[in-house]
Amino acid sequence: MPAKRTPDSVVSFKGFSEGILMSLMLHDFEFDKVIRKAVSIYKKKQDFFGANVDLYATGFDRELTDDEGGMVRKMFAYLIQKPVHTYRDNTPNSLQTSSLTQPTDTSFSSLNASSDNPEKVSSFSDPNEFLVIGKNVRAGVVVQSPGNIIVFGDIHSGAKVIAGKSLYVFGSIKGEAGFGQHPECKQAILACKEIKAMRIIAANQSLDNTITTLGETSIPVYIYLNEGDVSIVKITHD
Amino acid sequence: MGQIIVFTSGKGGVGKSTLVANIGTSIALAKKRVVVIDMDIGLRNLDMIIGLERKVKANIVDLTKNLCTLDDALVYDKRTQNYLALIAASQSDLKKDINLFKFHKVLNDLEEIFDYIIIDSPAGIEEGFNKSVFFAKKAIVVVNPEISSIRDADRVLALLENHRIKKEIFLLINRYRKDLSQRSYYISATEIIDLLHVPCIGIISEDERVLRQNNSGVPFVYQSSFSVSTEVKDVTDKIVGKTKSIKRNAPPSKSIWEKMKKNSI
Repeated sequence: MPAKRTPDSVVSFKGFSEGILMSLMLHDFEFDKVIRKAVSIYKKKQDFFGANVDLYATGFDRELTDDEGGMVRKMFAYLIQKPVHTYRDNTPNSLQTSSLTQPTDTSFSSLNASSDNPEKVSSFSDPNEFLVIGKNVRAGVVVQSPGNIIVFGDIHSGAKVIAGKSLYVFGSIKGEAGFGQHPECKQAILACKEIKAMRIIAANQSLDNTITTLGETSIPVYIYLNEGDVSIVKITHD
Repeated sequence: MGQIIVFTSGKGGVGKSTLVANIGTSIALAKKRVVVIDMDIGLRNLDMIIGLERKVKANIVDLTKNLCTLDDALVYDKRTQNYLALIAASQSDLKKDINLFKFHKVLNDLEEIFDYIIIDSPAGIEEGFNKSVFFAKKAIVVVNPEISSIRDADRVLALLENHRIKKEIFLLINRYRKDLSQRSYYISATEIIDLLHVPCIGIISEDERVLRQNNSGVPFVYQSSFSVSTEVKDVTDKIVGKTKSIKRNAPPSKSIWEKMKKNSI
């Protein structure tokens, strides 16, 4: 029999780059009671958080639905006049959030498995999304976007960048990179200034052997994916 | 108001405590009031390196639990004319026993007394690390010229850069051997700075006499003939604002369009 959840564990607050992320338990308790508990805890901590900090709401194991988000907004506005945003993990802010948490289901294996799993595929809902990262992606950071990704910097060893469509890196790839991961993506490109990658995945194909034969190269490389076929082009000035 | 500086690394054994002890002593010898706090709860050793272990009567956990006063927890070092003070870690408690709100209050009290508050963070990126870095305005990431240390430092830098309290972040390269820097297998200081993209506040050489000094409880900065003492004093000067830190050898930043133009074929 599962242990009975105490009221204190139905809500947690943690800081992230955009403000305070409030995680709410969406099961076991009536949701309005969970929100009231969140309000009372927030009131106690608001001096510590600061008056101008933005408050985002999400669930412990999933994001809030529109109805749940609306309910949180209304109750916070009614009880303490505090605006609350509904947190969405596939916004550009997910870069900062993912860096604060350990990677969970964003591994390549889970992404590859996602094509057979409708629930996982649903995270790839908007392939037209465009994510621009203006800095280096450091070790432990996982960036994932259903559309194209442009990185103005390096992908460090130990970092992962996974694009549903194309990936352009104006720096070197030393970590793991994936492109063409969206199930509906037929054509995609990975372009980078330098490749010293640990692992490259094109759609569901691992390019480990190809990259090994390619060797570490300090010249720009384009990897094309066209209907499942992969071709690699080294760009030289000759 | 004192300045809160945290020394962290991610990887253990890179020399954080040794550097905290020596840089703390060096700042104190420059007649600045400084307190060093050992946050490695359960594995205290900063008191031994400074040579104050016999004077420790209370610790940081006692302080945050209101089991002692600030005066009880502060151990002053007479060799520095009491400019250096230490708050030791507890050996019998756990990292979770420190309440973050009460720790904040302790830091506020210390800011009124000291010019510099130096926190020695434990290894890892878990609870002890989070509590150590939380309120710091300046973070110094200690790194050794080895690949595992650099990877861990990179992970720590990602956490620090995205922390909700903005921090000034610097790199401090420790145990560096200039004689090996030309070897192909050795990672040079320039490579480390370029890999991590953070300004470097100093490079401390490897010196086996540091071990002897640590074991005798006398920080090596008292030995002015050691080259590492000079290097630590240079870092101290940068911390107290006498000189500027080393910038990485990166080209000036360009606009997005300039970058795209440059990289287009």
